[in-house]
Amino acid sequence: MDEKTLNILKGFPLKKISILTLYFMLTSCIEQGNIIPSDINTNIPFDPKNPTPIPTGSATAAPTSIPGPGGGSGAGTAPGCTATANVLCKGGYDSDNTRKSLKVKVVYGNQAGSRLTNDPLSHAKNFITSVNSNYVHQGHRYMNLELDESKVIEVDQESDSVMIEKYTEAGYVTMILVASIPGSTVGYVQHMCAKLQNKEAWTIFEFPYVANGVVEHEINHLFCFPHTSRANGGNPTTFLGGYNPTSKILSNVGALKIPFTPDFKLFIDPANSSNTSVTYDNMLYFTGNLMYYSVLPSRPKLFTTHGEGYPYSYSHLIDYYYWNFLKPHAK
Amino acid sequence: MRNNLYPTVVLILISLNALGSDCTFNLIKNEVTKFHGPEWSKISATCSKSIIKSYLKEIITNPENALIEYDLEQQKFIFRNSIKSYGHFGTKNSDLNLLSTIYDDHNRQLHRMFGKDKNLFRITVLEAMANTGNLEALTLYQKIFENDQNELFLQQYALDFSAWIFEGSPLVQQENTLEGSKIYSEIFFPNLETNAETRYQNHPHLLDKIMEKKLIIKNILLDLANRPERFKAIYSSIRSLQKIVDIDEQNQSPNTLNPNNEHFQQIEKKSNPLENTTVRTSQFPKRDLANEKERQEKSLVSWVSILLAICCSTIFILRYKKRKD
Repeated sequence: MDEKTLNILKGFPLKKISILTLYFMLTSCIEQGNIIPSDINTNIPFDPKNPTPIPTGSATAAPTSIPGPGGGSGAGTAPGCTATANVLCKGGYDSDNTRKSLKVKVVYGNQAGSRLTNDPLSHAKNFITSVNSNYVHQGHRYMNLELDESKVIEVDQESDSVMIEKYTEAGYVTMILVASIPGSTVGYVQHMCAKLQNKEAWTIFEFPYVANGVVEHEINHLFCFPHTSRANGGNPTTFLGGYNPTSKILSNVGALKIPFTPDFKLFIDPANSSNTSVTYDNMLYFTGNLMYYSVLPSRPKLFTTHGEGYPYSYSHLIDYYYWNFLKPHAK
Repeated sequence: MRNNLYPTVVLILISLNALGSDCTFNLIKNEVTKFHGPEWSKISATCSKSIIKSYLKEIITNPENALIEYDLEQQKFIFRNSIKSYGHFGTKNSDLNLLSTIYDDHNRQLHRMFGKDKNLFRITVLEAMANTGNLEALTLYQKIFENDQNELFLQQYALDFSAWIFEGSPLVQQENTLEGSKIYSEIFFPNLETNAETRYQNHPHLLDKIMEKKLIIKNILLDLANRPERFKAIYSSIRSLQKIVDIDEQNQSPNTLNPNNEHFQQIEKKSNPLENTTVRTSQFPKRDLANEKERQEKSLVSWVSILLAICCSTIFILRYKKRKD
C-alpha cells in the first residue's frame, strides 16, 4: 500500500471506519433482505401513472410472425391484410391452412363448503362458446377458443396471486372463476398482448357475472385490444387520443411487444364517450362497442357495432395477435 | 298503478334536490356500469354523498325499473356495483337495515336476479355492510357466524368482514390492486381507511362499544373453535379474527384454536368430509403466514451476515493497525 493511501487511512479514526463499514454492510444486506415475495408479480406492462413508459418491444427487431401458406401473417400477406384503409383483413384463424385454436383452461375456485357450480364442464362449455362467438365476422372466423375439457378443474379458492401462480399454464388462456373479488373490480387481466409462453394469458372473474360481456371485454385486452376511450372514464391520461397507428397507441402504454407489419390505425376517443361517431379514412368509428370501458345497454359483440372503423381495425388486430402470439406459442 | 309511479316520483324528488347541479341519475349510472367499478372520487365535486346515496338506493331497491334499459345479466352486474358502493355512502343504522333486508331477501329480489347464485351475491351485501364502517354491522355478522343455517362460506365472509370493521379495509394497502387492468379500479374506502379505534377516537362511548363487541365475539369464536367438524375449512378466518379480538394464544384450554393442542389434534384425526380439501387461505387478513416465515428467515440471515461483516472488518482494521505499529 503506498504512502498516500496510508496517510488517507491514518486520517480516519478507527471508529469512523467501523461505522462506514457497518453502514455499507447494513445497506447491502438490508437490500438483500427486502426481497420481493415471489407471489407478488411486479410485471405491469402498462402503467397509466408513468409519464414515459418504456416500450417492451424493439422497434427494430424483425417480426417473428410465421407466414402461413394460406393467408394472413400479420405481415400483410393475406388478402386484404395490407392495412389499406377501409379494407377488412380476412386474416387470423380461417386464413391459415393449418389452423390453430387457442386452448382455454378454466379453474373454478370454490368457496368453503360449497361449489360454484355442480357441473363445471357444462358451465365452462357454455360461456366459452359465448365468448368465442365474438370472433366471427361476416362468416369469417378470426380466432377460435377451444376449451380443453381435461383442464376444467375445481380447486379451493385462495388469494388471487396464489391461484394465478398455481394454475396458469404456458400456451393456454387460463380463466379463473371465484365467488368474490373484494373491492371494485369484478374481473381483470394483468397483461395486454399476453405472451402465451410466459403464462401471461390469464383472467380472473367473479363467477355470477360471466355472461354480461365483462369476460369478453377483458379477454380482448389479452389480445392487444385497448379501450375505445383513453382511460377507465376518469382523467384522460392513458392511451393516445385520436386516430393513430396502433403500434404507437400500444407503445405509449408499454404494451408493444412485437412490431406491427404492416401497421394500421385505431381510434381512441379522448372524451371518453360511449356514443362518439367520427369518420377517418372514410370509415365511421363508433365508440359504443365491447371495448368501451362500461357495460352498454345494447350489449354488442366485438364486431357488431355500427360503422366500418372498428371492425376494420379489430380485424387487423386479431390477425396480428394470431400470427405473432398465438400461432408460435399456443399449445 | 302505485308501484309504477313510485320509482318515478322518487327519481323526480331526487332530481329536484339536485336541481341546479350536474349530478344526475345518468351520471351515477355511468359510474356503476364501469367494468372496473365506480370512480366516486372523480365526481365528488359534482355530487354530494347524500345524492349519490339516494340514487344508489333507488337502484338497489328497484333495479328492474332503475336499470330498465339493460338486460338481466347487465342488471346483475350494475346491481353488484351499486350495492358495494351503497356501503361507502350509507353509514347509518338505517342503511345497514336496508342492506340486511336485501340480504334476507324476503321479497325474493335476489332470487329473481341471481337464482341459485344468490348466496354468492350475499357476499357482496356483506361487503357493503363492512364498507359502512358501522359497528352495528358486527351485530349482523354475529348473527350469521353463529347460525349454522347459513352457508359455511357466508359464515367465513362474516368473520372476514368483521375484521374489516375492526381493522379497516386491507384493500387500502394491498399491493395487488396495482395489477394490470385492476389499476383502473378505484381504491375508495372512505369509512374503512383506518381501524375502528382511530375512526372513533373522539367518541368514548363508541370506543367502549368496540371493546364490548370484541368481548362478545371473542366468546363466540371460542365456541366456533370448539367445533372443528364444521369449521375446520375456515380456521384461518377464525384465527385471524381471534387475534384481532385479542384471544390469548398461549391459552392451552381445549377450547382454544391451537394446532398444538392435543384435544384439537384428536378431533382432526376423525374422518371429515372436508379432510381432503385444501384449507382456504383467506385473502382478507394482511398476514400471509407462509411468506412471513420465509421473510423472518431471510431477515435472520441478513442480521447474521451483518454481524459477520462487522467482525471481519474489525479484525481487518485491527490487524492493519498492528502491522503498522
